[in-house]
Amino acid sequence: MNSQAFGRILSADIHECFAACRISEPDLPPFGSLVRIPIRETPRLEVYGLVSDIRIEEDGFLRQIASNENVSEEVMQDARVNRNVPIVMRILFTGSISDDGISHMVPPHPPLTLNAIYRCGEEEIATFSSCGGYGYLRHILDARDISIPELLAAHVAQALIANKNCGNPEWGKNLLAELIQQKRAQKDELLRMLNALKSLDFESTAEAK
Amino acid sequence: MNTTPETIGYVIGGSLKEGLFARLTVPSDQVQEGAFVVVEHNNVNYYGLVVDIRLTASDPQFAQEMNENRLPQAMAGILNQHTLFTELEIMPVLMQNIGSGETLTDEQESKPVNTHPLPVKMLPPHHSFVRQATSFDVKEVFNTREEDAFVIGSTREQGHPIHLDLAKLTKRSSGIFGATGTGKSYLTRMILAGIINNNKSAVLLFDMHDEYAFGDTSSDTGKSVPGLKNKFGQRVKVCALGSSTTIQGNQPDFNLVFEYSDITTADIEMLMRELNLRETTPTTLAALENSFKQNWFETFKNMNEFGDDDERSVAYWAKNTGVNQMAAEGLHQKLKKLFQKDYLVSRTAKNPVNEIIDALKNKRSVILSFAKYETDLDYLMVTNLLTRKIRQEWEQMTTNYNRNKSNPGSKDAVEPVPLVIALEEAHKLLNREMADQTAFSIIAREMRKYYVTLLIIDQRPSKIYDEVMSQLGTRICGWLGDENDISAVLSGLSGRDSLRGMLARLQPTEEVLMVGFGVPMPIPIRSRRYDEKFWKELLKQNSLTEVEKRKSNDILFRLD
Repeated sequence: MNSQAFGRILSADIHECFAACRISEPDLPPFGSLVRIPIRETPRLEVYGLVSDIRIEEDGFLRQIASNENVSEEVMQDARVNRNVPIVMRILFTGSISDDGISHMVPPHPPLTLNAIYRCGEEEIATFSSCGGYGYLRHILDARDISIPELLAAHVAQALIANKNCGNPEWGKNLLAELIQQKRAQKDELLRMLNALKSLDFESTAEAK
Repeated sequence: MNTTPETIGYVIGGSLKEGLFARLTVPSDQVQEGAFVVVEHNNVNYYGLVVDIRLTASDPQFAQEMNENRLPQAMAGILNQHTLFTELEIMPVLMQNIGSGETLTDEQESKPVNTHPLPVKMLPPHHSFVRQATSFDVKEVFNTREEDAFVIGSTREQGHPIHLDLAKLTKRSSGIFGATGTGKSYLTRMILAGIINNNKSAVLLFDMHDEYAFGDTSSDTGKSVPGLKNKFGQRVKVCALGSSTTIQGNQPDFNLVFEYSDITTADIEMLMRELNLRETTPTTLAALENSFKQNWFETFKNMNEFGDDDERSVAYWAKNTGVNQMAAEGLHQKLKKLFQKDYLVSRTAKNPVNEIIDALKNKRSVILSFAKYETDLDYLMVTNLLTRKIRQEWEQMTTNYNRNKSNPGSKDAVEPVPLVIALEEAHKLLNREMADQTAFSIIAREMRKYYVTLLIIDQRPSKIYDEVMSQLGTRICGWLGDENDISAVLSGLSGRDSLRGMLARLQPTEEVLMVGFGVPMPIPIRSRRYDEKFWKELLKQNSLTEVEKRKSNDILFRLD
């Protein structure tokens, strides 16, 4: 479990939240990562979510730099690294953890603004993704305004490695079976997802490096 | 050993009319059409047959495209597993309360279940598990009294022995059908051997092609196979048609000839088509009978064909009795075919018909070989003559028995020996035109109460009169190609539409479908081979106790 927060909540509802983080943050989670947002310590409640979008917005000054030919490399680097406008991440909630354990339902209430966000480690990813019979998949499959196949592929790529390394090599195949059962009535959608997943190694049971 | 047979699927729908539908959970090539399956729910087992196997998909497009070509193998495999399905259509036939839902232990398995399978009246609910029948299920369903149990074959998948209940088989008329070359006559030999060995009924077999008494050469192995006489000795009497006739060089027990006085005018009327007789024939025959009583045939035979004024001429007799001369002369001309038959004689020293009847009455079986008399005319004439006399005899015996059975001391208070008349090429005697004129249709319809039943053997069941077919209790049928023949075999049976395909897709040899009264449920089986091993096992049964018999039946058969 990472102890270093990489960002804080800007806004949230029961399904998702937006968070801001600095570009200089050394451990920014990539697209599809599982993150954890603690809401309170007692009784324990922490929300799990997937990074479903990452946006780097302009701050007005960037336009001038980008359109000016005579900008030194030093100024350019300063504008890229030490910029004031943060990176905004969209986080799709996929469950929560309480004293009762992990749940794949939406959190009972959304996190508050400026709550810290932590990136989950391999063990936490494996624990969250392997419990509850893939119930959290529905949040991904029902998400709006998101490229579901891409989010799914990005998440599965990470979770596949985490589960293999944590001694659960069949996780990937079972996920495929669950996904197919849930989406087989929508053949086109299912095939788009499978196409997005097809470059991943579902067969190997060896631990990923 | 605990019985935990593998589940092959689960129920997904159905009705009593349409049968059950189940989704297969094992590869489609692990279950065959006709498989004996059991659907389990709580304490009730539903026994049925797989009557159709259907490949289906959650979306037809999944089936139409080769997913392996565009997805990795593992992924395509999982996709296929969850989108492509095999469905079974099961015809539920029997249900049985098995008493306990618990897995049976060795001890429990060996104890008989106290409830019997009954015709299905309920359906198992959705998602009840389906499995292949075990030997225990087969025993439960095809449970017969030890003394009447005869192993006729085995289930096709697991090779569990199937018992035919000989008592039930012989209680009503039965039929053995199959296209030529399907092993019909070998199957008939085995069943007749079982009946004779059972020693509760006598068999009269009309052997048109001389193949049952002294053996034959197997067409597929080229080996000689024994006949019934070879194996049963004096329990089987061989009778050859015509005096001094031998059968494949073997001397028969006796030769069959008929006295002229045995022939009635009705016997001739039955031959209308065969002898190409005219519409005036019945009138002429009636006049002959009226004039000469039971000597009509011999007297008519001895009349001169020509000479109006000759007192011994046909014309003279016709004129004096008011019969049309042309009609009488025409009949005389056409009956010459019969007058020339040397198995029709004026007098016999010892009436062989009575010898046959006496043998049958004493529970001896009789094989009547036609030897050189191979024409349809011989077959029709002889079978009808003999059967008519037997029918009269058995009717008389039954009447006497019924009158005197309350008086055990009376010599007539003896129950008649049940008689099975086995008839090859049955359509020649039981076709639509002939059926009503011969004794056979009456036997099929009415003689059960007089202890006589038919075992008809034929390759064209559609040629047999519907009314006779409908009377057949048990039908054992090999492969048939003709739709009409298939329909005829299944006529009057419930679930015939489901069984139709099964019959059409039997293996050309050594597979038969058994349906009807003699079997608790329709079942396709792999029939036994008719060879020395069969005989060894069958005759060995005689020296075993009843309990040993069943064990031996099961164990020896598995060695096949």
